[in-house]
Amino acid sequence: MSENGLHSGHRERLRQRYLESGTENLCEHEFLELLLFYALPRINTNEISHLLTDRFGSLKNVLDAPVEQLTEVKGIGKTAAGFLKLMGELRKDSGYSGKDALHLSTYELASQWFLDYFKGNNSELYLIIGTTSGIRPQVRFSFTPDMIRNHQLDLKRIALMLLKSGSERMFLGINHPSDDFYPIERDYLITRNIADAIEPIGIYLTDTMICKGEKIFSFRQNGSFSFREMR
Amino acid sequence: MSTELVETLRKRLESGDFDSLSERERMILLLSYSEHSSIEEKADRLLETYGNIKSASDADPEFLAKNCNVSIQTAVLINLIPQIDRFCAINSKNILLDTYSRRKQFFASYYKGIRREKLVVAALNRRRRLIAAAEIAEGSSTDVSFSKRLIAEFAVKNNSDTIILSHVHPMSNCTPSPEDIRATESIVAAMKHIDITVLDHIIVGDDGDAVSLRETIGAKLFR
Repeated sequence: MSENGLHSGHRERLRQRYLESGTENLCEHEFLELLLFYALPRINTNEISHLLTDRFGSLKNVLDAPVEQLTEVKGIGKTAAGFLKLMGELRKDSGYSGKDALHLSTYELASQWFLDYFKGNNSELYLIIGTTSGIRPQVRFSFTPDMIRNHQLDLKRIALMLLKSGSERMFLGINHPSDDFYPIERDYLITRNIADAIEPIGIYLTDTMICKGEKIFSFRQNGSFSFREMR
Repeated sequence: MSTELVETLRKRLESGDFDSLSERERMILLLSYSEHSSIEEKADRLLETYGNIKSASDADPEFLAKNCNVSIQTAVLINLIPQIDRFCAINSKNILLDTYSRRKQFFASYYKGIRREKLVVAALNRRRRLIAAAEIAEGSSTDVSFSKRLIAEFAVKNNSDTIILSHVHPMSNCTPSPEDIRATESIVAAMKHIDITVLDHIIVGDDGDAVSLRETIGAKLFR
């Protein structure tokens, strides 16, 4: 097998490990290696990932380092440095720290969380959040109306994802940029389907919240959970 | 057109101009590292479907790849973005743990999703920077037992003379129990014999809140 073939097999196996079990079984340099696959498609990134973590101390420091310092590391040119810079910037808005780490323990906190999440988003979108019993976000899963229409939504897979993250409760957020922010038939249907599929394993749907711009409609507040037992 | 646009965007990124990039430009840049054709079209399709990069990164990668006609490699790349933050918090060596709030924040992130009592010890250098953190003991959902020998061994193996203890209350809040305080006193006394300082003991509750025993009870607990 050629050297490229060896690397390519290793890359696919690492990507597959990530798809199957997330970052749970990855150590820091493997995670960085996984990222570097994209910036350095033809090179063995294992040694470079070690050089980076040795130089900067941690993955976070690597991603926060200025481009000119990154290019001082052997094997990192401007393209790779730019890529690491991009990932470092994008993660700041997407992670589980900062305001995403707030509790959703009151209606006000939960509604503000969803309004912030969907702010500026012009796509019709659904979002399941798994939370701890203390209503702290653990995992997020977004899906589209097309997935519902085409029966592509795998509720068993979502249940497994929630279980793996240690979630004990969930919220459903819905973004209605163009429809009225009152629930439509599909919203009731998906709420019922999610609750029926996942609550039997002990993860409870705390609320469904519909957002349109700065307006929000809570199923729980408006008694729209009356078709099922409220928890 | 895409190649020139990508080159321009990369130059802007490399010169520190990330903040002025639009969501579309950021998506194009991201895709340029994993897609080889129709990058703008694919970026538009992704943004039309998910609205922004954040929501796309929360989607199932296999569905995203199929529905937006991008490769699974691209879908994985997008999906990695929110994982980075969590990974950074858990695995950051060199992180500074000199204040109560930094310690509480570090361990609150560490224990996300944990359902059993775990005792984690952080070994620090003289500048209060993290050398290593590791799980020393695990218990049931209500109780954890620990070994002073393992704690000492961990500190010594990492060439550290300053440690922070922590554990999680997976079924209750972070209020320290009398047992937590007795255990801390016992470990502090033991570690003194080999000149290891226990700097603090952080308890994380099931709601993610954290308490520092040094802050709450006082430095006398650690003398």
